[in-house]
Amino acid sequence: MDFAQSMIVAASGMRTQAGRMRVIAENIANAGSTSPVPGGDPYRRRIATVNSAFDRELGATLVAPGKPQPDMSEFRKQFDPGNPAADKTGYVKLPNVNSLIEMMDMREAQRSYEADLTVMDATKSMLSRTVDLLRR
Amino acid sequence: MDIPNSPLMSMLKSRMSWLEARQNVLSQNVANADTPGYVAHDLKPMDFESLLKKSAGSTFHGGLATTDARHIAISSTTSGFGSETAPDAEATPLGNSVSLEEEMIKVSDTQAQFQAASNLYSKAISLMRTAIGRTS
Repeated sequence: MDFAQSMIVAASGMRTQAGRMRVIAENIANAGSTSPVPGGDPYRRRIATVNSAFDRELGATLVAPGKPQPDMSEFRKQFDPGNPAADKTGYVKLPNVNSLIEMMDMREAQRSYEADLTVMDATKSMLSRTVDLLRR
Repeated sequence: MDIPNSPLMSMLKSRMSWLEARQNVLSQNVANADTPGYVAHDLKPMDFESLLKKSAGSTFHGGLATTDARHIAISSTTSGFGSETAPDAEATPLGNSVSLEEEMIKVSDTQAQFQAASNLYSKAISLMRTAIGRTS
């Protein structure tokens, strides 16, 4: 049944966006996580990835959340000698999380999720139209 | 007279299965809206002439005809409608050419077309009912 197929594909898209949202939430929650040892590395931002593969059984291209990749950009440094995570020179390494970028990513994930939801809604109404033909 | 396979009914039927297949393709596009390198697909528009020729003869399956009991009917997962790449107006730097706006327009268009086809179908059924002397 093709309608069920459309629903499954849209659901896989929604699942992927939800997984992306989870990675973004992790980044935002850890925006201030410094290292537990003096001079160590703080939390490293992670980037959500997408795995797109053709499902032979279903005959459609499904998406799945991929393994989050670390963001290798530089850590921010702040002079704060009193901080337990500070190194010998008194600098603390802060996570490379930019809350503005995370917010933007979040909006994008939300938008894609809504689009998947709209497709699902449209498919559902087409399906119920077909079922309605039985009532005549 | 074979009512479900009459030209009008079978044409509406194939129109509806084309729209169903298109909805499936569109849902794949939307699910892959964030997949790097993904190119949007769309179905080839329905060709009225060939459709008319097919529906005048026998039922239109959208695929191979089963003329013998031992023939295996085409599976429901592979619709016989050819899909082709149809990139939307803009592509992201990662090579994804799905524009959510355009896909949403296509989805609602498909939905409306399906509604029209299913309304025509129910009208055709009520015509038949009138012919056999029942008022519905």
